[in-house]
Amino acid sequence: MKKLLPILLLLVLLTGCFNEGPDVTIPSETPAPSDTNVPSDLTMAQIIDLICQDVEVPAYEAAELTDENFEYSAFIPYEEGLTGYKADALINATAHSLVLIHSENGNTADLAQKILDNANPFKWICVSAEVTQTAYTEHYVILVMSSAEIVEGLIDNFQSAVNDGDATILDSVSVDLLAINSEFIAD
Amino acid sequence: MQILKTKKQIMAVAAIFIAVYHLWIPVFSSASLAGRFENFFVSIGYIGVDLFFFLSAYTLTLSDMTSKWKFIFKRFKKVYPVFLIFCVIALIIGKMSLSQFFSTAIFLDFFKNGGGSFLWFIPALLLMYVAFPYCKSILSKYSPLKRLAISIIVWVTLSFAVEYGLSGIVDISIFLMRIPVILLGIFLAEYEGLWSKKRRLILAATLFLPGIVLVYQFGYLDKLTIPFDSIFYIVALPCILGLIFLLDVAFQGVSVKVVDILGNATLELYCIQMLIGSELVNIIFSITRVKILTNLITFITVILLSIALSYLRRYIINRKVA
Repeated sequence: MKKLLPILLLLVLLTGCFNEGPDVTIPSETPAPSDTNVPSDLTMAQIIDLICQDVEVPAYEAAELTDENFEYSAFIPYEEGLTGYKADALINATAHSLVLIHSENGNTADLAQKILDNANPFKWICVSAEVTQTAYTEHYVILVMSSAEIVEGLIDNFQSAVNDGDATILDSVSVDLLAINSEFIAD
Repeated sequence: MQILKTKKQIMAVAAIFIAVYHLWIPVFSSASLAGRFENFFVSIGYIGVDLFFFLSAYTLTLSDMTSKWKFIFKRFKKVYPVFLIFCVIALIIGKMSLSQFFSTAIFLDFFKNGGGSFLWFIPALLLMYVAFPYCKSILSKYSPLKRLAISIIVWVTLSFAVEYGLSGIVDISIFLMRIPVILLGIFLAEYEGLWSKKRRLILAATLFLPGIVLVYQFGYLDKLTIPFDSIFYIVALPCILGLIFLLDVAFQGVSVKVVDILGNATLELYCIQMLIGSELVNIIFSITRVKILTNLITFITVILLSIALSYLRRYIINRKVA
């Protein structure tokens, strides 16, 4: 039995090695978007890849949100008609989260505001996201918590990636109060 | 308990817990049973921090504090230079701005952003070193029961003040919610060298298994945040205590060279993973594209770097002393 245990452990590890699991995307490998019109039959995972196109995001794994983890990632309770996907960084030491929500109910403006109000850039415990921002179209809401540069890049790509009409971008919230003040002065 | 003898080994285990929490890429599909177990294990890696606070409080209680300033200075001399060096490196490599650097170096950032502050654990630990001798001296006038009652009242008052009165100004709940584990460390230090292996094993079994269930429910599935935002740390107390008894028994009279060496490099291990861990994982993963291999290479690299830096630190200190 004692000899079998290490062999079993090794087998479990090897299974892990070859277990592909959900697709992991390394930023440089995202598919190129078609020029202007994105086909509307793209999956949400593919839309996320388009949003991340040409932005230096950390390696991520796009996964559908379940009833259990919806509120933890999206900061609003799950309700009928919502489909959510998250594409967080693979490790907890990287404060990076992208959440894309599709709403059949068309209440995206309210959702985006609620998400922005509730979003917690300190949810990672030992690191915090520099900037939090949301944006929405008629059917989609995006929440990004990351560094200022990444948030800007992802929000910029949002409208063309979802191909769902004009996007409205809500004011960003920065952890560094000085950054908010300087933006205010610049405005 | 034999914590004074097993401290280094328990510290090594705590450091691994924290590193797993920060740097481990989940290998299994989250829908599978193995994946769920893995996610749970990674998510509760924060209990490594509680182990550190417990051990610090335990050993501080048994330390000589005849001269408070000498005691505080000695502790600062050991930890603060490492903290400052890593802050300087973070500034140089662009991980923080100049204003953030100053704010972090004088602990202002820790008071403002709590767990989101760079290397927050070190300011928290140093804060404990400063407060400890004074609290001990004030409370020593009272009976043990009164001491406990005063400590709990002060802790609850501070927690409410920070949560509801100073919200948005001060955010040190991540530290305040560790005060109960610190109090446990102080309390149990009285029993150093007194409890048999059998007693500790019974305590470990009694606390650890129900403790794991509590952590699973209230620290993982549905994090408890009422009445304080970070109260789920307290839910982990039985599990932490059980784990300490278990590790104390497991390492009693046992010396594993690698674990001992790692136990001496925990400060560096923490600093390195917070400074370059994230970038390291991304680089290794972009080369290997295999999660388990990335995890292995990352952990080996970070551990080796920590040990090398720890040796360097000790070498410099020893040369100064000589």
